[in-house]
Amino acid sequence: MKFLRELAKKPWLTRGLAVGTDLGGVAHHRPSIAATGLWFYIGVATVMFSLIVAAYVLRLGNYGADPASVAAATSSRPWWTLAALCGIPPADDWQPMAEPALLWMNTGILIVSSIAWQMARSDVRHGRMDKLPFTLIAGGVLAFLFLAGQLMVWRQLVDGGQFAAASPAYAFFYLITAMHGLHLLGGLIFWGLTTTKVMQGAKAGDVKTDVNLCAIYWHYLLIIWIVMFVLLLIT
Amino acid sequence: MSYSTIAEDTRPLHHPKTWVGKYVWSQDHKVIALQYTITAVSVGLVALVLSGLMRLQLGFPGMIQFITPEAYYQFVTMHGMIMVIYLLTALLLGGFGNYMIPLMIGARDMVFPYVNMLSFWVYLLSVIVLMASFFVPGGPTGAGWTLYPPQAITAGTPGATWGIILMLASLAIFIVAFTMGGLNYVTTVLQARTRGMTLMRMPCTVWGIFVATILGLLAFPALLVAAVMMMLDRLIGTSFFMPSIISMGEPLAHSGGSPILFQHLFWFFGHPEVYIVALPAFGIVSDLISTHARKNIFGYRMMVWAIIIIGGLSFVVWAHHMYVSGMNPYFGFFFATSTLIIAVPTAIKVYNWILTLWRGDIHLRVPMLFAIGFIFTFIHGGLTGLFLGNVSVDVPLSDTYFVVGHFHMVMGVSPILVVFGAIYHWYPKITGRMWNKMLGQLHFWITFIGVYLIYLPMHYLGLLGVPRRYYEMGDTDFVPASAQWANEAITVAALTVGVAQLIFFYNLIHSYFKGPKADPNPWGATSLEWQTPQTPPVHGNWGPTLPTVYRWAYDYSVPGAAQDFIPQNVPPEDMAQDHETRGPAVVEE
Repeated sequence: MKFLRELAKKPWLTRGLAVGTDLGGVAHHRPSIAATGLWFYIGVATVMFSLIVAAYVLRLGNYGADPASVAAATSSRPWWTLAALCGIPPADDWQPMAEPALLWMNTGILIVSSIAWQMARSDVRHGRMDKLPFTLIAGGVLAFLFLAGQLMVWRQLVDGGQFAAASPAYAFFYLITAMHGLHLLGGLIFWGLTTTKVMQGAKAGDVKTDVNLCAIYWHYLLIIWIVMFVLLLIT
Repeated sequence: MSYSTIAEDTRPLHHPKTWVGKYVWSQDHKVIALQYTITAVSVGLVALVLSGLMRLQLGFPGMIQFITPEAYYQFVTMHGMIMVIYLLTALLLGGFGNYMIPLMIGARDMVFPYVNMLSFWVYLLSVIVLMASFFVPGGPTGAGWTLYPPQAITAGTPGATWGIILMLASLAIFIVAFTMGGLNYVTTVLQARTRGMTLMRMPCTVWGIFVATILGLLAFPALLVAAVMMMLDRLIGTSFFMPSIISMGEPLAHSGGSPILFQHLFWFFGHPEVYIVALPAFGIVSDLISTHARKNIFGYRMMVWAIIIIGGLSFVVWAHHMYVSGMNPYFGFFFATSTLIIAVPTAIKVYNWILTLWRGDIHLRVPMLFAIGFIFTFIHGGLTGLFLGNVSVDVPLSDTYFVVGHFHMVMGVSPILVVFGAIYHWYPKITGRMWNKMLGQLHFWITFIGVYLIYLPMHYLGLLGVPRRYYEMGDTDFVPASAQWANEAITVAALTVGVAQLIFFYNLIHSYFKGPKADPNPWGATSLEWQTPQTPPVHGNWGPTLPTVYRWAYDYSVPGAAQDFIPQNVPPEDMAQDHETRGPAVVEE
């Protein structure tokens, strides 16, 4: 709303310094530069994952529709309607993928990693700098463990002959896990930078933004993973 | 953040000592802007040569031996992709965005200078990967710039072995580079404006670049997803986009994928891309017209709103590129409607440019010539866009030269005229030297008349039904022999315009060394970039303290003022007199 109010101003009528002009950083609080950058990046990543979901849904085709209604071309499946609207002929080749139990464990690990980050956030806020290295390392190591777990799922699937070309469900699974994993790896770079700072004895004020933003990013990637996992489970 | 942390703090600016630190691994936004510009223009010259070769084939079929059908399609593809993405997007956002944003909003640099530097080097990598495809077996991809599957990755299409892989990889790398740059531009605009620079005091140039960058950030992921999925189809045999196909009598190992899905993803990126290029051009041309007409831009608020509305609407018009793909009629109806609606804010902008000129004190300097030339080409290209936005008109015209004429006019020629105008406009600030006026005018008139000679006949050819994408016409009943004469004339004009660009480069390079010293503010402009203590601006831009902004960027010909412009950083109390209709010089609110 503040943005809309700003857009309604008539700059040709007013000269001088506007009331509320930030003259030294005490007047009002604005999010940090890095936070603005992060939120925009989260927007970018959300668009990307949403488009993957859209492609996934459109690719489902006749999956789950009963053969009689498919023959009559009146499937009640919502994605069928969407695909028909977009002019995408519904495919018949969707096979649900096997759901390795390991995925549940990985999900649990990522949740714990996110919790560790939340604890790190709280440590910084309350100035518990002695505990911070442990929570930070826990958050990072658990994320690495998650990635290792995802690689193990890949290994299991490939060993079982379920490589990406096996069926569209597998193709999407590899695509989604790879994209998500790469985003997590990117986050781990900033985890490394932050942890190094903390290990070198940085003060709470110096790493507060870093820890906060990393934690937000971790929660974001957890939400993305859960959405993707649910998508895999229900189709 | 607080204003002071970024604005007055010179600490993050590490001043490089060595030549390499200054000009190669530079974190200075101005150097990065020039690196972007030089790279984009160089690769654009490759695309220009390719278009010349295409025209030679079309005007004089078979005259040049090495332009085989395969080579022709490779030229078409590379010309389109380079011009749209690696030249225009990179030049307008990476070049002008980088140079202008910090200077126009009164910042010392971008907020993430290191990421900004990385952005350029990753962009350069994407260009190198793209150029490498000219040298791999099979050559670059000849799939057309839209890279539609299945043909893009099916044997028989030129470059289906290596070219397409390098193209997709290059696009993915470019998107990474753009995202790094884009995050910088939006964050800088939102967080690093100097004291007094409210959003509504920003020049239109910054608004155009700002909104275009947001569009880019939200649209390029679609291209990334499409490129990665097609890469997987090509390399490991998935079937995202590949349906069951019998190729040369053998069934391919794909099934069930949808080429239409790719089209949706591609155009979800592709249509905002038009505005990623157009919005910065809109913004820049507004400032050029206002400055050289010595008059405030007509309807500043409306101009800003139009930019934002166009940006929003540009995400719901993509399927008008796909009317012939066999979509649901209601779907087409929706997109035809949204397409026509987007013409409203666009028309507002055009009216406002013309109304800015109305009774202005027009100085027909070279930048202004290009700005006015842009109004002409943009109106022509925009109106044919309205034709094509209607499904029933688009269907018969879609595969003809009418479309080629339309989009070259609206998003080829128009932004390029603005780029020329902008380069002439800011060259004295960037180099500290003035270009040669005669050569500039010569360059304008040849280019402006030339592009009409090239693209106007194409509309006519299209209405005759001459199909686009054809290597040669052969004997066709419905195309009269005179169409070939038109093609010859177009080719002659195109080659003339192409060669005439040498005048421009000669002018820029010669003036850089031999041109007369330029005044720091030769046009009498109000915006901050003209008020730097040094010309060209040095690292850090502003000396010890940042400028403070007291007014909008369009105080031209204010009655009673000593000069016909009042720079943004001149305080109200320094103004002896005030215009009666403007009210007292009060502080806002």
